[in-house]
Amino acid sequence: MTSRARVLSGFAVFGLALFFFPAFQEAMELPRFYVIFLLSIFFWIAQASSWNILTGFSGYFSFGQGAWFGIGVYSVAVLAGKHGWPFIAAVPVGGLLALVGGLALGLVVFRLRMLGGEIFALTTLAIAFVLAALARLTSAIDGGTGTFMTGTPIPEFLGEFNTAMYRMTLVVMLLTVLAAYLIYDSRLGWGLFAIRDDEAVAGGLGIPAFRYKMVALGVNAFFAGLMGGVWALQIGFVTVEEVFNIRVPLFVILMSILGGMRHWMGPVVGAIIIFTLSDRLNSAGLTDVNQIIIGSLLVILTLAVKEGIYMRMRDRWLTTLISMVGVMTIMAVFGLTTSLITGFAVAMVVTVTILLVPDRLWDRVRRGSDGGGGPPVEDGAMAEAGR
Amino acid sequence: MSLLEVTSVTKRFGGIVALDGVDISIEEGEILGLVGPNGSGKSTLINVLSGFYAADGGEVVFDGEDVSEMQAHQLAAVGIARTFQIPRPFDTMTPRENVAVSYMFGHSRHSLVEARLAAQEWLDFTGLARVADVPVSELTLHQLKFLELARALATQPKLLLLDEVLAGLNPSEIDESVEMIRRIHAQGVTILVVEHVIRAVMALSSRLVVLNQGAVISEGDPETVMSDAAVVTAYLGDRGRSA
Amino acid sequence: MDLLVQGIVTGVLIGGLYALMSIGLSLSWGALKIINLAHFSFILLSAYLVYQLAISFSVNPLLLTLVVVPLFFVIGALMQVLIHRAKLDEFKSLIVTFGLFIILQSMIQTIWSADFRRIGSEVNVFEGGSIRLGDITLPYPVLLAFIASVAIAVAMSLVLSRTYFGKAVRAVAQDAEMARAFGIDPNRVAVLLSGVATAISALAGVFIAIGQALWPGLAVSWFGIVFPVVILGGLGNTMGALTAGVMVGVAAGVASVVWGPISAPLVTFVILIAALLFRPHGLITARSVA
Repeated sequence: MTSRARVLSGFAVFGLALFFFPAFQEAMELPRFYVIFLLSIFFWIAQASSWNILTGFSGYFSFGQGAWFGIGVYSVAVLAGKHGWPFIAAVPVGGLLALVGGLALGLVVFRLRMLGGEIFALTTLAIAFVLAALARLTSAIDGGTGTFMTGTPIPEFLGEFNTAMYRMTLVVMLLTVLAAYLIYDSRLGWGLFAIRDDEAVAGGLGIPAFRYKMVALGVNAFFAGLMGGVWALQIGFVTVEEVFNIRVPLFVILMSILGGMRHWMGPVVGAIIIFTLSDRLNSAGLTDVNQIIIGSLLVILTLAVKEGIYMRMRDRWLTTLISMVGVMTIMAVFGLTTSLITGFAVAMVVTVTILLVPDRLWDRVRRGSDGGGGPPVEDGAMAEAGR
Repeated sequence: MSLLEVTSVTKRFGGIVALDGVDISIEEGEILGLVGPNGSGKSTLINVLSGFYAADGGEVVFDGEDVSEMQAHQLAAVGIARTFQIPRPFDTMTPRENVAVSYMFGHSRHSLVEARLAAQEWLDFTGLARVADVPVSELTLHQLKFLELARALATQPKLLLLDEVLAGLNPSEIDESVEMIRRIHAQGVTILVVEHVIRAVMALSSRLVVLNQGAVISEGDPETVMSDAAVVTAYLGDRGRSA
Repeated sequence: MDLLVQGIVTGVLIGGLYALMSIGLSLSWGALKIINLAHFSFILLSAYLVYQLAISFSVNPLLLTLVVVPLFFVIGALMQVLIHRAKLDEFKSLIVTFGLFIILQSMIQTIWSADFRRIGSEVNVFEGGSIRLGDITLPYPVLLAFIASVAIAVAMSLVLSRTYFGKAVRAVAQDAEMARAFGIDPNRVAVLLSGVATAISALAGVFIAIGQALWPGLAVSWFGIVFPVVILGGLGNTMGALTAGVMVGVAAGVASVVWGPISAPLVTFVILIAALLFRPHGLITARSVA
């Protein structure tokens, strides 16, 4: 099987398994919370992946994820919440409007030669606040009063509320990650990587930089907006503060840096880890400390993590497996927690810490345990060098 | 009809006139040498011809087509490629990937799979096959320059602009590079060689053009040009002229 | 009509404050190639410190300039030392300073809560006071800020063009390695410049504490003002920052009168976009530090 066929079948298998999970959960009488937990993870995977398609692949740093997300949410809030459009019709509009917004931004900023990347980053920083101000000012959009989504019905075939949200976020997430993979493994992807390394040289080799950047930005904005549209229902009472705060833009950066910005799986892994951690901290009542931890994580990860956890997980997969299973087993056996998710969270923290050990030290440790005779590299640590 | 016709090209940076009405033509199949003292505008000309700078005036006609307004990637598509004096490889990619990306986009479009295979050809041609899959950071300057060549060649250009490709090399590396350029030429590529290393440029070029302060001051057969009084003055000042 | 004229005048004065807030960022971005997002938290932190010290010790807030400016000079210098140690490139510094920004913001929120804080008029002699020129009111806080910003802009401009330090800064901004060959230590220069930039930001914080109520969300609201000013004025161009600050101040002021205060960020953003669209080259030639 070609590697592409393998990956696509992987998508199919995971997609199907996840699709039937709610039914599984009911049948096995597992906590309903798992469904809600998972749908949140799907949300973040989609946001982080779509963000990384632009920033990770092309190197154009975007602080604007909140803007595209916000356009998506508000499109649905206004069309469905205020004007009674069917939810299913409003969601794609959210994606399309976000797409238009992204392309408009790109048209203005991507043509700049010098300082293009920096100005892009800063403009994206400003854009969310501007949209927030716009929303607050315009009563047709929000006017400061907020919009209730409770009156908006979900199509019956999707099931009850949580199952419906689960299914919708799952579909959007799968589409987003699929897009990320397809771009990664294509001329567009390679063109973006070249642009990231040296845009001027890339142009000289025939890569249509402006066009490619627009595509990446468009894809980013579209999926961010699409997921935003779906999420409007989850938010319930849509307000400017809830939608346009720093959480979305901040978390996607954190998730992608942790997971790895050079690979399409990076944001997926990063999203799972960060959200699980954040969720557990919240349920332990540590919401205030949350922000400080997040900020510190951002600083530490940027300094310490070179190419992200995912590549390390792949290279040291055996270690990862042993660590995850080991920690979770220990926690279960010693009764340290009854929550699967908490066990998972702790296991991940331990595993990530182990994985972050720099290669040189790691090789020395392994060589030590081998009695000094074994080969210095584990399964594919050489892959460090490549992509 | 020449392959490249450059007519009255000017380029200004603020108050500085880097190119002052340059007229050059390059015939298909030749190696044209371009020399001149520092600051004469050689690199600027390459930058203009490859689309890295936009000219302020004048006209460039390539293969019968007016390319004066074209951007870098469009020029690559019509068959103009260049190398950089200080190599600029894509540093998160291996040499093989660098060449493959080039092949994917250059003169005609190719798929990922084709590109990885085809890259081997240019890696072999430039002798980089051994280091094709190591990080670019581990290559020597000489190897990086050859990577520049391999990458430029992978775009299948009709015209190759070499920007001081011999800078920083020791004599034996220079000889190897000259040999490489000859082999590239033998493949049918027209070459513009911008150089400071005079003996190499004399050895390679069928014709020589001398630039000084943004204008052409002499052109023709290498021997004749280099003994031209104006050229000697440009390089060495008036005292350089022996009686 | 009077309302409009008042709006313009106030806009000019506030523009001075905007310029003061922007000069620090403009210098560090232009000369050090670092976009320091924590800059905004520094201004806010300085303002909160002035507030706290003013009410705790019943001190005239303006005097606290003598406390916060040196303090933040040190903080800025230290930050540059750490950034240099960590060998951060432009984008990494963007992310790291962003993280720093988040941390400082939550610290501020934890210490002072999200409630509005304002120095009371017993301590703040400038509160509510103003100079009247006919029908036009010049409120003390923004008037002082304006005067300070003109002074600083002119002073920095002279420092950059006339003093050895200024020339060293410009040399380092153009080519750090070359500067080293001339006996200039780029690190020393960077550390000093960062200190100066942060100190100027702290000064802006003083005037903010004097002139308005403080709340954590202020820092974020400044993004949409400071960046347009920095970009329009040209990186490293302090007089440019002053001019751009006034322009933005007037535009925002007029917009506030006509459409209400919430429209201000929209207006400044539109100005920024317009500048990027129609004068992108202006951004390049205006790099006066380089």
